[in-house]
Amino acid sequence: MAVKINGGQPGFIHTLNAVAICGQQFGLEMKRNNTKIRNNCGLEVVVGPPEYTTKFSGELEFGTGSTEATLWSHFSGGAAQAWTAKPSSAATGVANPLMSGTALADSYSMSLSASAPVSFDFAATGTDSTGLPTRVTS
Amino acid sequence: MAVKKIAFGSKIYLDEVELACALNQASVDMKRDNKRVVTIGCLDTIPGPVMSGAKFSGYSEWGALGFEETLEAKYRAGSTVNFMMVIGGTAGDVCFEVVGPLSEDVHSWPAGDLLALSGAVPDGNTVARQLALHVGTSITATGTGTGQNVGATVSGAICVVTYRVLSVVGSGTVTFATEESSDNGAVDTYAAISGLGATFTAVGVQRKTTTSATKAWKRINRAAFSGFTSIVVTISVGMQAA
Repeated sequence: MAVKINGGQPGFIHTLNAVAICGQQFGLEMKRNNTKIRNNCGLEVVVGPPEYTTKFSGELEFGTGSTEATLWSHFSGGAAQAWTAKPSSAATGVANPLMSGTALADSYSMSLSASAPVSFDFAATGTDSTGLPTRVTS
Repeated sequence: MAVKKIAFGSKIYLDEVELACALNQASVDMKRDNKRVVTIGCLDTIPGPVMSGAKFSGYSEWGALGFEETLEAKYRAGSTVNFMMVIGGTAGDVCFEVVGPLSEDVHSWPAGDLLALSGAVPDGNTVARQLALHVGTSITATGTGTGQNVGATVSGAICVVTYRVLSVVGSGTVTFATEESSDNGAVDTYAAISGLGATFTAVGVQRKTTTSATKAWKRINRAAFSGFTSIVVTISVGMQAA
């Protein structure tokens, strides 16, 4: 039976370089570079190569093995690293598809506001040769 | 254990001036100019250079060494500034540093509200992540500070030390050395890292780098101290994103 999953449920696992990322917002944006062609036969859309961006943001955790240390290691290294995302619900035991791939950081910002936790935004573009992440059902 | 931190209490510096008491917003924006390449045959991503910047804003604090005077002087000089956030504001905390020219000096003078001011270092500069070894530490004599596991750097990586002398009482000279050890001096005795020393005769900021391999544990040695009654320093050590 199809079920909906709350993103805040325990069991949602998002990793970068095999280290769990803790945040408030995770996203995966896939798009195709389709091309529209208008000719005297009408309008035609030619399917183009896909690409994707994975993003996460929220309040930043510091310390050994933390999200902060992991994101800096990835950003400063300048090399693509493996990522995974598996929304699953510990409460219902539902195993959902695992998305995975390799990505290279485009941007990473850290913001300090008075009376608020330190927050971050991170975005990386997939470097997978197909332009799409792998989706595995289990 | 990983912990969240609130921004309140963090130290934010523009060169040798602490701005934290005037600011209510600060950020470091790290970017890489990666290129997504689509050719006839394949998709590829080419890693690009680091192009980072920083922004900060708050209340237009007036007077000697206030936010307004500091930003105005540095903006009009057009020279490179050293912007740093010490997140948490104590020794051992993570710091992020951006070095570049100021691109903005924006004044806002609304009637019925506090005067506001903001500045920015534009995207396009390098960024370094460091750990604070000293934050607002008062020094009155020679000696060594507490070592911290900052992390080893391999040959070719850029190890950065940023020295800030925030204030001085009297006139004199102080010389710092950054020392390294693989085990906090337990067996491997601390020794100075070549090229990372600095000497001050007044307030200021000095940034030293080396691409030689360095050991994980680092500490600051006040190798020489004369003339001054006391000085206050903030010193951080880390690595620059390549």
